[in-house]
Amino acid sequence: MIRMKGIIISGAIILAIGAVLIFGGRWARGHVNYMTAAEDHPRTCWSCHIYTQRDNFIAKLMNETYVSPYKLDISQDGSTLFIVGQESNELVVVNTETAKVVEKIPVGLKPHTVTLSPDGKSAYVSNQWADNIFRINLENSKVEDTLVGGAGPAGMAISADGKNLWCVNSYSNNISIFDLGNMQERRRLKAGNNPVSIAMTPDGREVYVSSRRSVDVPHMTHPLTEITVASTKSQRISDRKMFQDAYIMETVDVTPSGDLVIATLIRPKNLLPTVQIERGWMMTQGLGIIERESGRMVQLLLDEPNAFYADPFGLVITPDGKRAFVSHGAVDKVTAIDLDALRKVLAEAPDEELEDYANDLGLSSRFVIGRIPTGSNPKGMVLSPDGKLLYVAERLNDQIAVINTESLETIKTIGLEGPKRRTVARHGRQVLNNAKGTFQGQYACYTCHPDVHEDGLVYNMAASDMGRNLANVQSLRDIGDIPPYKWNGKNQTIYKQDGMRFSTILTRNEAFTYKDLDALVAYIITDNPNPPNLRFNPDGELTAKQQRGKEIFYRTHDTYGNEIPVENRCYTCHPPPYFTNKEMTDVGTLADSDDPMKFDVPQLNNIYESGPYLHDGKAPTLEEIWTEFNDHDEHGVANDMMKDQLNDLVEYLKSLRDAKYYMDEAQAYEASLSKKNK
Amino acid sequence: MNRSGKWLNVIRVAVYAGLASVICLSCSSNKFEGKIVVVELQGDNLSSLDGARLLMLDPEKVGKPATALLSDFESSASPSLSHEGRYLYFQGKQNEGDPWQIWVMDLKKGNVTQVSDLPENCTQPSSLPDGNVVFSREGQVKGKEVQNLWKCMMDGCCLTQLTHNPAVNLYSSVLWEGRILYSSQQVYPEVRKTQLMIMRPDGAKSELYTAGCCGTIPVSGGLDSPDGYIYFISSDGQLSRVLHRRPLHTFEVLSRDLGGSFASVTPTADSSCLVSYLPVDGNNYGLYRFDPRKKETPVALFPGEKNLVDPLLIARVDPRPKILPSPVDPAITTALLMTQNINHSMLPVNEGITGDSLADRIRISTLDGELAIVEAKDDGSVYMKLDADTPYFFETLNRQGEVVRGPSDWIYLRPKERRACTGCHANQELAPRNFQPHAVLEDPVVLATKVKKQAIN
Amino acid sequence: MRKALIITGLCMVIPMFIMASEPEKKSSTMPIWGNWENFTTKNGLPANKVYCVRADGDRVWIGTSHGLVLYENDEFKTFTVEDGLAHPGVLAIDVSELTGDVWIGTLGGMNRYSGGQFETFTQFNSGLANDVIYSVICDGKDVWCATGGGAGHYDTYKEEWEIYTERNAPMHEPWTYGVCAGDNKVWIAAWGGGVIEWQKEKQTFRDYVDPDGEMEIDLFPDDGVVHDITTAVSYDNGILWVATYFGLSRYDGAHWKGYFDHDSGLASNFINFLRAVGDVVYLCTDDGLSSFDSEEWISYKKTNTGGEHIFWKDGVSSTKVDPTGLAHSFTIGVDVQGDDTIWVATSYGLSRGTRMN
Repeated sequence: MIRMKGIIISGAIILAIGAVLIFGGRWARGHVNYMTAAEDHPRTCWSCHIYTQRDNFIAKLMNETYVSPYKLDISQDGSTLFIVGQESNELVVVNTETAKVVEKIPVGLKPHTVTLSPDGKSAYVSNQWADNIFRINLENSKVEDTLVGGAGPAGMAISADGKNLWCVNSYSNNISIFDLGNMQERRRLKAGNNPVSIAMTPDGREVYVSSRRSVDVPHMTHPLTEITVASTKSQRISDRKMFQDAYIMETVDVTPSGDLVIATLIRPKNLLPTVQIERGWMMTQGLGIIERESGRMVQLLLDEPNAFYADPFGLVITPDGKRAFVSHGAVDKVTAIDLDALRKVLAEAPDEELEDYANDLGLSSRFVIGRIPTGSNPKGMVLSPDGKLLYVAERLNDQIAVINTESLETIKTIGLEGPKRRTVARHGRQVLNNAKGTFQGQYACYTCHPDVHEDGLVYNMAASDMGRNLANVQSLRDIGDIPPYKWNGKNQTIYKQDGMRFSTILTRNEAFTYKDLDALVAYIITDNPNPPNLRFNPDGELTAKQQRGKEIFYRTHDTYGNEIPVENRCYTCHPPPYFTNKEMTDVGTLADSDDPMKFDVPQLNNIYESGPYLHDGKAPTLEEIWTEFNDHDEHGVANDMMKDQLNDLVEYLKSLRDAKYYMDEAQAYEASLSKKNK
Repeated sequence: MNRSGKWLNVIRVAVYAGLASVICLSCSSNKFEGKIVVVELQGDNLSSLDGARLLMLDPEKVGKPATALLSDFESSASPSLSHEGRYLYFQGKQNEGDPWQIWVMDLKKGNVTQVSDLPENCTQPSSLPDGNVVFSREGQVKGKEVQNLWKCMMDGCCLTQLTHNPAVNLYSSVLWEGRILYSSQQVYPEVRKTQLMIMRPDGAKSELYTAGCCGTIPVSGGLDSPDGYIYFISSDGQLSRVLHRRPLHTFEVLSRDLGGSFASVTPTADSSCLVSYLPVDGNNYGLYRFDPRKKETPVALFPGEKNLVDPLLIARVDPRPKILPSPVDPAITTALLMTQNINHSMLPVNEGITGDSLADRIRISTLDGELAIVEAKDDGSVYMKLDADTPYFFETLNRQGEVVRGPSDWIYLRPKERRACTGCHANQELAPRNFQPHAVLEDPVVLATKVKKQAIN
Repeated sequence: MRKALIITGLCMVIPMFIMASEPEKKSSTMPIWGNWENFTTKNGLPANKVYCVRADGDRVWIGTSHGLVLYENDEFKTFTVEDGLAHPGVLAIDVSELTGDVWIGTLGGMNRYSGGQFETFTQFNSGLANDVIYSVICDGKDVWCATGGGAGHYDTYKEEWEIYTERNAPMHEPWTYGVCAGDNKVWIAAWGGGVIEWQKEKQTFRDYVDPDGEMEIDLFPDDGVVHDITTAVSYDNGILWVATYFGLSRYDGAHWKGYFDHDSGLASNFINFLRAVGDVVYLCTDDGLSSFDSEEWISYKKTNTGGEHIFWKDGVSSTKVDPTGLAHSFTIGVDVQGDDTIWVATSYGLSRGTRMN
């Protein structure tokens, strides 16, 4: 009897386990298929449910804080390297002889560039997310001064006499000139869009500032990215060199003889239907050159017909002016360039053929003398004072590669004492920054999504036809909780967004392995907050204009007292904390070139830095969303507003920052909704 | 025996069975790993494969005689290995009068299976990383003998024609980047020089890879090497290569100063090459090793008594070639073609033009003659919907109706393919200019004539 | 006795009061301009209607009905909408002392011209109140403009706009005609609203309106701005000058003084524009250019035979023939370049004069 009972119980348990395994397994299969839009993704629950944890105990266990070296400088005697740790918010000091870290000095949030003073006694570090610059006394490693200028301080240059510091403000699009005598900002000059780098000519008379994004141009016309030229004597802008069909000019430098100004750049083919990738149909990369004597601008590619060198970032020129080196963050290589050979190409280039020269994939073979493999995501570089050694920041390896500039070989690496293990998110970051997922390495996710944001361009990404369904690149920051994805909302998860269809339509290469895909998704979801909105809302206290604008945003009646239908109120489609209701809607912005569709409501956090606007980027500014493209009040009731009211609304929108600041507001909004529904 | 003892016995048997299966499984590993498969020809004519047979050579035992790989075939040739090193594809005929067909040998199990079963000769297989095999299949177009590339799965299913031009398309190989390299010689309406072409594994985006240089043209297919070169045989038995990064302008004849003659080349993982080579004072082509870095006379491995060609090292390819995605949809019968500017060309204007040197329209012709004339937009762009899998050639015309440039090579598009060109016979090293062609602001000009069911997106 | 003391006291106080409202007498070094050279389309200008002129070191910027012109090295270079100009009608120009950027007010928006590139601000793409820009000035990092739909303030560092209309400023209506800055204040000439003063430290407005209301005569002299239809304002050396269509006002921070064509050397009450340069104010009227240093008037008019200088002081007027004359007496804009050159925008050409004394 007891034995029978035991058999029955055992059998029931086995049946129950079997049922769970079979039916549970089927459910899990269906669930994973839906989430990943694939039929063979392994049923590894932790891919979605562990790796993507944020801000909790599991996330703390899963993740690490890496150094992520970005830019660097070297002492005049070559004995010491100073490296910005972008993620660890440190200035890492390294002894080049011993190849060891000497100390790590805490700096501000998201440091960008380090520049040493001419006397070698101070290091200036721009803290891009803190809107200030630290001056560090290198004798005692203390921050002794804080300079405050514009928003998003990035590249810097100091005059040879040590009297003035020029700092590029990447978010406020201008250049601060500081008097280093009193550490005060003397003036601010307008630069290009998202300027990042600055170089001073050897004679100290001029500075050149390169920018990342195109200036505002009419819809679907050539992107134009600016190199700003200023006179150091008058401290005024003397010229603005507009490079057509180029952008992401990350680094600019000047040859020692001063004859050439050279900047890295990418040439996007955003106006072309994205029907193929071969032969540079999507992106090419190279150099923008200004011949200073004539002022002529030339673009030359570093790519080759069947090999691309995506995301050029760092650029250095040897003291003898013979060689230049360019780091390519997406293909883990440094390109070595013979500058005399490059000058020869320039000398032969007729003005009327410059556009063909800018697209000639065969030209690089005339001046590229080597491609040096590096570790993951090479970024900033610096040469030893004698030009014999090149130090390269391998950002996603937490180390510095040391390259012999004669033999073009890596002779050693210097570890920066970052975490030893590679977390899933770190792996994902490497995937996002690497072009191996794209055919012939033509571009990486990072190329169109620099800093995991967006590049400000509109692409011609028709899925079936050509010339239809223009799409404005969207930011990837903090998007984990706001499905669906794509403007047409067709992708319910990020897995699907980056899955098979992505590889068919965009990368045209083998789809990511599931391991890479899981890591990529984990990185996108967990590790990409919006930068602080120090420009418009540093501390949450709204200005009077912004407060008035907020009232307009939440208004229920128009200026004349008429009730606004619920479905046409701003907050209905754009409720906090992400300011999207995650639904599809029609706001009357469909273009003739669009297939009939509704659009996924976009999030508005940090919207001030995401121009142009609307699904096809036809509104260069926030104002134009309503002044040009809302004739019938389909995108919110706005035609009753006076200009100052619209201005206030725009000021409020510009004040929107990361979603974490709106959680309470979201709760209050939800509560009010449920109260109304009752 | 008590209950616990019985259970112990059961467990013991299970463990022994498991161990036995592990041992058995490991016994059937690939015994050909590291060996070289080569084709032994029966006659002096390198083009004649009748009676050819596949031999297996052991490079570790140079003096040891070769082993015939297949016993049931009258002729076998053109070996090609799948990337994981397990499946050996070849063309074979079991009886003298049979057409060549594609076969596959499982090197692990030893069995041989027929892949293709078609009335025409099917030759020169090459393995794709997704399990498909590409091969050449004879045909006829306008009374001319042609060969086109087809692919199918190992069991012969899912047969798909990849190339559609009236040409002899041969010697396909799969590059590490995932595309297929092949040799192509137009035969209609006139015979043109052989050139190497490259296309995606679904047959889309076919374009010129290299046409040779300086009087020398490729006469074999090309194979990938870890040093970034593509190696092939060029006219007059020369060993040549191009740099894959820039194939149009890096043509290099490696063997010019060596003497002798080469018949085939296979790069190996150490960046040297296995070559079929006839020394200056030799009697037949044997198997040699050549180091392109040193460019010295090849070193003999297996001189052989008969001609040995097409050596193949049995080894896993790691990493394997990429599996490229495909937007091709056989349910769709049309494709889209756009040209940025029909006047953008590196060819000179045709001689004898008396009118405008700039064209303002394009004439599209098929195998049956002129199909249509399409006017270009003011920026020179055209945008057309064409029948898929149909060869076309193009000529640009001026206002006066004269042919400014052309005729072009044959171009075909795969179903649902979208393809764009910068111009007509434009410099193929030029990336496109960045502008929105006016032609795509409107619907394409529809020139497709086939009426079939269209898939609805 | 008491009566005598009172009378004596009044005799002492009243003159002081009167003297206080009288402009401080200065020794006269009024520049006298002549040797006029006139430029029209025949000389390379894109149009003869010249709205404004602004000196910038060795260069001169000129606003016409058909484009912006740069005069440099004896050559005129025209910028049009093809170059990026917002509208061909250029009504106002100023050059930032801080950055050298040129700010241009047009009939269709505002431009910043810097480093050879135009950046355009319109009411559609920015916080600009209205596209018709009558006046623009650079005040350090700030740019102020007077538009047909309100005054605008643009912080070039923060790239932020603030606009002022009758809804948030003591304006009669949003139509503003002129703006100037000085002494930590900004003044706006508001059509029908007199002068609006923005105090930077307090961040508040106050207004100065004609106490006579809408009367076109100055009922009580020197009681405030002479009329509420103000057309321009300019500040220098502690004096705010206000142009109206009905005369000129002068304000020293405490007292107003009015000037009219019937009781002063003012060429005409209908003043289109004015600019203060040091102690001298230049007034562009519909009947000649007047200059005044709070004591002496010199006006310049075009005649059939050339031109004439009209001197006026303490009620005494004299005229001197000038063999050369302005391009036209309907003057719209003026600026002084250095110490010895003056430029005048007129309805039929641009005039350049040199200092004769």
